[in-house]
Amino acid sequence: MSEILQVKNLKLYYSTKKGVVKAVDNISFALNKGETLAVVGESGCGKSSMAIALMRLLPRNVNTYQGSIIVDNEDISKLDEKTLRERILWRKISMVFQGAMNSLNPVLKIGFQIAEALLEHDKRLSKKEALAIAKKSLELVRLPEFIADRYPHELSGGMKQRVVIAMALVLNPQIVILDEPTSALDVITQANIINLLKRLKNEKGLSYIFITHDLAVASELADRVVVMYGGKIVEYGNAEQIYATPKHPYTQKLIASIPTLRSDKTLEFIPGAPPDLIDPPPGCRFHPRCPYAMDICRVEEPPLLTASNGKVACWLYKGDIVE
Amino acid sequence: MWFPIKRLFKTPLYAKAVDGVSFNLLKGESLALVGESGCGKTTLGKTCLRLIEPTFGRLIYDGRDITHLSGKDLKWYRREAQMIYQDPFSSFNPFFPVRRILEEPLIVNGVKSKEERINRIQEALQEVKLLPIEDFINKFPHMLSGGQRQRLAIARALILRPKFIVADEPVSMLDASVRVEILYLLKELQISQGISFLYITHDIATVKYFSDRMAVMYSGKIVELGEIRKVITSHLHPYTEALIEAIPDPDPNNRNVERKVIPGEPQNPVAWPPGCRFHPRCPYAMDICRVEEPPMNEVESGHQVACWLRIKK
Repeated sequence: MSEILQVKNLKLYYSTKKGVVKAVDNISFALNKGETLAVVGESGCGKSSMAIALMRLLPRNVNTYQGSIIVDNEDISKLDEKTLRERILWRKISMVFQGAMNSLNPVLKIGFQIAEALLEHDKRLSKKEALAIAKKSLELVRLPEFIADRYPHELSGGMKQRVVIAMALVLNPQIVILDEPTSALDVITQANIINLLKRLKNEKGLSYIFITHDLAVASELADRVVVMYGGKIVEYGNAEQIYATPKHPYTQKLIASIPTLRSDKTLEFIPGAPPDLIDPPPGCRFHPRCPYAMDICRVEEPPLLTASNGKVACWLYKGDIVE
Repeated sequence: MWFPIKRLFKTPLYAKAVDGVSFNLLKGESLALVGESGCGKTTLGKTCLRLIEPTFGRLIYDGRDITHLSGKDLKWYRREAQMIYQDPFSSFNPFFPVRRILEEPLIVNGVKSKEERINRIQEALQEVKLLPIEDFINKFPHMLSGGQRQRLAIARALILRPKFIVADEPVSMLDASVRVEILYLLKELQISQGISFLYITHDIATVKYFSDRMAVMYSGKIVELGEIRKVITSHLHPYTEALIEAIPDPDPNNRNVERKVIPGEPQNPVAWPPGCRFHPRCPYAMDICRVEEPPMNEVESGHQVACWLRIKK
């Protein structure tokens, strides 16, 4: 499998009145073609910041924005704003935003809202042609064509979510970032949308970056999993390995806290709160909540070490690591 | 509970949000109410608290008919029954510190001595483990994390020593790691103080960690009611089956298979379909389902279902 996206040393800091928030702090990972990479972690761990950093959709109060993002052997972080918009965004890499179904324009018909992106990217296209493509993309997400003439308030939550997915796919991107695409939906609608995402992936050979806080939902799509904590990657590996034999104490706790329906287990929770990203604890950021914290954890930050088919940032595994 | 929809010069239509529901909640028991959004769970919860006056039927609390209480009697019931809301971010007055949030119900209910009020506040904070108390008592809601706010919401519900609490999705807005902590706290309070809970949720996976029995609601009706383990392992209603099937367990093998999902969406509460309300989405629908509504039927002791498939001719 070839790597379609490589992220190296990505940093995104925000300036606030209280100080600099290190939302994404030096993370590196790669995404293979046709693969789903799930990014999991608690709220405030930097998952969504990472997504907007990849798309360079930055808010105004950015302090530092660094790192290289390589799509198809091209470093898109070096491109200027205009070329990035014309060539990369939505054409190669697109995104379904969290709660996007509630940001559809209430006074425009669905078909036009999808066609708008097409018209913006291809000036030669006529409005009629754009609408025809928009209708095709509705078919792709299993919605009937007449939806194009409807307004958002006439659709249910699940249908709106499908429209938003159609929008993300209308320019045939290879990489789609899904930021909590199902978290506002009912369980049955959620299962429907996940099934749709699975089918689209197989039909079009898409690669997903799937951001979620729910490890059970993540397991529906994930080939590989990135676990984030306090703006850093703490563990990175194949789904089988992360779910069966998690290495980092944070991942272990996170998995132990998911309620399961079909099997019985005692649930655990993680005492304490996620770290303050303005002034993170020294050493390992998880040490104040970690049951295995040692002296070194309080002082020195663990590097992301290669363990058996995966990576983990924890001093516990220093001995058996092959670097 | 029928809500009138007023139309100019026409007879009003009714949104039948809760339509012919009967159940009982035992003392010190936790009953879960499960279903999709729009099925009438929250309306049922609010009706039980008499925040809404039911259109038909009776509510009996502790041997007393509370269906049409008003004035002083209603105020008595307000002390007995409390609610915990879903959204810990919007259910507090942002200008009140923690102390005032908890003091308000005491003042309203005539606890005159200031000393006693402070004692009760400290006790409540102790119970929900917002410790050390001095750190929290003067904070404002925006200074608290999601989990801490939900603890505060629980403290507010507890402060009048209620015997019945309706918890409307108390953990669905919280992170997974905190969710369990709050559920365990509620469970502990249920046992130590003998409070009866009506736990409203759409997530069946959390139900068995907090409740003893569960009722599955669809389109304003209870379609299945029974002990949780029974309902999960040997569910009798096709809707319960669909709900359970839709929930993933964390297993990386999930990605290789598609989930079986029922088609369609819940219907319009103004005009429910005739017969069984689930029949347009039901994979096992028969002729009778389209015509006649199935009655609630006790299949084994304590396990009831409203489905024609389970009625022996």
